[in-house]
Amino acid sequence: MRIEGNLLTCWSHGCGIDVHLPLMLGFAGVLALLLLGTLAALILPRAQPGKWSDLGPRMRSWWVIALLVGGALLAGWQAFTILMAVISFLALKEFLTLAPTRKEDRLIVLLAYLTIIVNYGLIFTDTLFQDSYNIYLVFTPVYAFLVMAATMAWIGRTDGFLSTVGIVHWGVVVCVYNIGYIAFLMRTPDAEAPAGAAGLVFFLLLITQLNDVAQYCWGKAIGRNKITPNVSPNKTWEGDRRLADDGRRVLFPRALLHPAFAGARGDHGAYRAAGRIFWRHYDERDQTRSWREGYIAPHPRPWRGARSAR
Amino acid sequence: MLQIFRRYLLMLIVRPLARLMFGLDVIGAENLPKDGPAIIAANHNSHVDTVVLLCLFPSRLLPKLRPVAAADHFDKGGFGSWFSRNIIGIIPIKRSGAERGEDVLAGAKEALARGEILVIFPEGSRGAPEEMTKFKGGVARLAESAPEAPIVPVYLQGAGRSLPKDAKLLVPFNTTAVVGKALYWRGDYRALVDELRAKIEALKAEAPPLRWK
Repeated sequence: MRIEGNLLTCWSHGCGIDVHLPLMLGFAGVLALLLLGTLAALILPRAQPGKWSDLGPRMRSWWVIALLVGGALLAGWQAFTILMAVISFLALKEFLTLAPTRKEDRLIVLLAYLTIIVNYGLIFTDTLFQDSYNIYLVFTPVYAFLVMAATMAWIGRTDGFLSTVGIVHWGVVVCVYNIGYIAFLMRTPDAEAPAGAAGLVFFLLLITQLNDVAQYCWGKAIGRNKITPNVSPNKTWEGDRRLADDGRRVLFPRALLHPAFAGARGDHGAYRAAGRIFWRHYDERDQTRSWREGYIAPHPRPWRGARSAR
Repeated sequence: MLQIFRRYLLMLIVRPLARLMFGLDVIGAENLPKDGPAIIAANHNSHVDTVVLLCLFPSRLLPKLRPVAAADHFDKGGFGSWFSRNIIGIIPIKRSGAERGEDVLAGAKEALARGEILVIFPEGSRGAPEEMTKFKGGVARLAESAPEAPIVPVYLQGAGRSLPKDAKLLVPFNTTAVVGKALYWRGDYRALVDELRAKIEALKAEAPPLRWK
């Protein structure tokens, strides 16, 4: 093992992996949190039976998420992009399974799956041609939008045209286009990011996930008034206030983030993508929440929750 | 040799692929039989149904799982016939053209006697996507031949969207299998078929809402 600047090089079996030191510390922190959580999942249900019954399954899914994402981050942008493409596919399939579709819409649904290949393919071609990022920006919102609507017209499906085109395109934007930005972040040149591209992705995922964890903990501890009882019953105003006022400002001061993103010099696509993601995430708390619900958190199937509540 | 090949093909390729494409959500997995002989009776909308049912079981039981399938569709000779019989492990059943006095269910009855697990679709055909048609009586005759075998009702949802009858494109959607408590042969053909149908209808109500027109 060798440390140079903030770059940590691990040698094993003749091939080296470069890891930035801050990222390594981040991984260590996540590992510590996971171990702490696992311990809590063993102790708390015994101390207060019934109240913490969902902590065990939550810890299990966090372990799986951490191992998968951590492994992909270490393996490089190719592995991470493939992981995100698979996640997009699973998310879109879940979305289209629950959304109202008709048997005549199967072709359009198949086209929606094909956008995953183009969307993530454009991330792979980022260094091959300069406009890859610009094409990425418009491909789903403009071209997929038009092609899917045009295909509906070509095959003569005019009944329920708007509902099908609207639902399917909405699903593609949420499940494929938006998640794709996380993978695009991995293509930031190392010189542009203090902790490497993987560090940026790690940071994005960490604040998103910590938001969820803190909401869960504060909500359980002091939460009373639910923000959206019909949508996400564990989110409370108390948890949110506490999180916003103390946690985020102490943990992630804007001043620390600013130098990293405000000084955008290059015209590099991934670099601009980074700026977009972070400012959106940082400034609009509500959006952050819907982000988390839709993308990363392993929420149980909504209909299951509804049934057990009955 | 072929059995080992079949087992690993299903375990290492078919099951992971099916999980990725169809999700394979199971409700009531504890109701599945742990060993043969048994009869798994499910509604039928798609060829994907058979794949989903095969993937529900631990790979240890795969050599015992025998889908009962229409001879006029799956046993037409050539490679298709070899594949259906040896890899999917079907027991072919003549739906029409049987001779007088010939027992079309003989093969299935022998399999039950050997302690195998039959996978059958009492509707006899796939029909319109996500709709259940009349049940045929063969399931009751099989139950009579092996009264000790539990008949496990399964409601399958979603496969009819992925690959409906006559469709050429396979489109991934999540499927859900709802497994109910077993019922047994009690000496009446009609009563058994009606009870089975009622059970599967009841399981349908437990499945996630399906907004499919």
